[in-house]
Amino acid sequence: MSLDMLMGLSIFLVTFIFIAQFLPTVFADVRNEISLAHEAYKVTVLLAETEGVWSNGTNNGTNWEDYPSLWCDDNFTFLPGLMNDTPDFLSYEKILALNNATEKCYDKIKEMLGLKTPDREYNFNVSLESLDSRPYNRILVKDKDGNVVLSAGEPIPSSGYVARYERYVWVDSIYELAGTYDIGSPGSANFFVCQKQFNGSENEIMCNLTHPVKFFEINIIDKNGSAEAWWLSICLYSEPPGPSACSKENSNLTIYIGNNEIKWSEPLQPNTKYPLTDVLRSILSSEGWEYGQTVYLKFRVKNTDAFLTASSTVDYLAGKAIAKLVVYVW
Amino acid sequence: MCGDIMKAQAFTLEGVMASLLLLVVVYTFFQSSLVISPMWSELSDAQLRLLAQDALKILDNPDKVDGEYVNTTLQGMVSQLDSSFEPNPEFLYALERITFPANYRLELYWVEIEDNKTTINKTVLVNNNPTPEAVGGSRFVVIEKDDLNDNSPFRNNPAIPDPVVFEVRLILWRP
Repeated sequence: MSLDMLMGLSIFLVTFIFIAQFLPTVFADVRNEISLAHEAYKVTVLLAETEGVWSNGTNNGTNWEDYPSLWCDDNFTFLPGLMNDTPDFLSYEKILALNNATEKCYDKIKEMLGLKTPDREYNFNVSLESLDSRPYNRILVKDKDGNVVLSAGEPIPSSGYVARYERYVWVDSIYELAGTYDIGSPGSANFFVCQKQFNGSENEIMCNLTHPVKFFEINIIDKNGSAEAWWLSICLYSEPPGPSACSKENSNLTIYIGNNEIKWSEPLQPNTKYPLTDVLRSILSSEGWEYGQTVYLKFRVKNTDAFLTASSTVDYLAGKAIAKLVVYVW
Repeated sequence: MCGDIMKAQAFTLEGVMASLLLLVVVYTFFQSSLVISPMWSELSDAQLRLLAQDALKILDNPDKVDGEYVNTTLQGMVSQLDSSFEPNPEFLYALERITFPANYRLELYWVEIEDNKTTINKTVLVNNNPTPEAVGGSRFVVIEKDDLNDNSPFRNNPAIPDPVVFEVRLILWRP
């Protein structure tokens, strides 16, 4: 055999052996990643599009969240679906239950979600995240007391293949997710990003929020006391406001730009909610505020029992409290 | 003698070239297997398609407040359309808030019946040009003509049956 033939053959064999070893690795990676994404997709569908189901062998139902003492029981099988009555519409109660159930019996939840089979086993993390949340900067939805609503499962690894699948969902009660603050009663307090002071016979409250406002609602309970005068004013500023007072209109809830340029006004009615999210967004956009720009607010409240309900993590759009249900599988 | 050496060198060069060529071809083939795999491109498509459907589902809210549809809903957007076919800014804000960072195009379809002839009409509400990888979601909304604004091109058109069935198509693609 000639030297030329040997050289050609050896180069070919070296190449062939290299490729033969390289080949399974390439396809293993692809297969693994595709498989992970399918599992993540499956979990989002199970959670967002089913109510869940439970069975103890003799009885069954969909209210698995009502049996916390049985979640880890081997005779109690359940699928922890989160749907309320239509796909993507989640039950707040089921969300909290999933958080608790995963904390108590992670392996069983993993099995129930189909992530633990005889030949494959995956880890998972499920969370309810703000619309502003990104994979590199997660923003978890918090409840009215500032607690994270849903972050169930193992900590997400920072390296390796992690499949991420997300769904847009809405939750049945904005009032569980947004903080409610008493702005009517006299006395000073710090809440949300506001500072309340009692000034003479009126409350003066200073806040700073970011445009666009996510959720903002005023709930008027009633007039406080028998005095005739009562009002609630909200002044909006692009710079921190000075000491001069926000204007007022007797018996009205009024929104001003600066101290006295009226933009919106309605009569105060006892036991009435004023959903001002869209109103504020509209006013601020038309006045030239850019998204992400700070808006300074000054409230002026007299003889009015009122609550402010506001959220910095949950968006209120189309009459729904919206967030992202995000599932990570690895 | 000299001729044989030249011939041998040519064979060696041919062998090396053939091996290199084989290496390049096989390596290129394996690299492109990520794209060739039919499952691969569908993964990101499936995610975006679901998000388009979810976005339309969220914006679909037939509940009225003070007798009117909410501005940020599909019903509120369609009912306020006039002959300019420009969606109201609150709706666009809500849509962009949900779909960001994806780019989007929004189309509206409806049916007209005239002289027993049915035609499907279409208008583009947000005219961005999708890429070939764009995917779409679709949702039907039904609105009575009395709920459409006075300047609505659908309200006084006798060829459009009452209630009006609209199909809203949302096309999404990654920037």
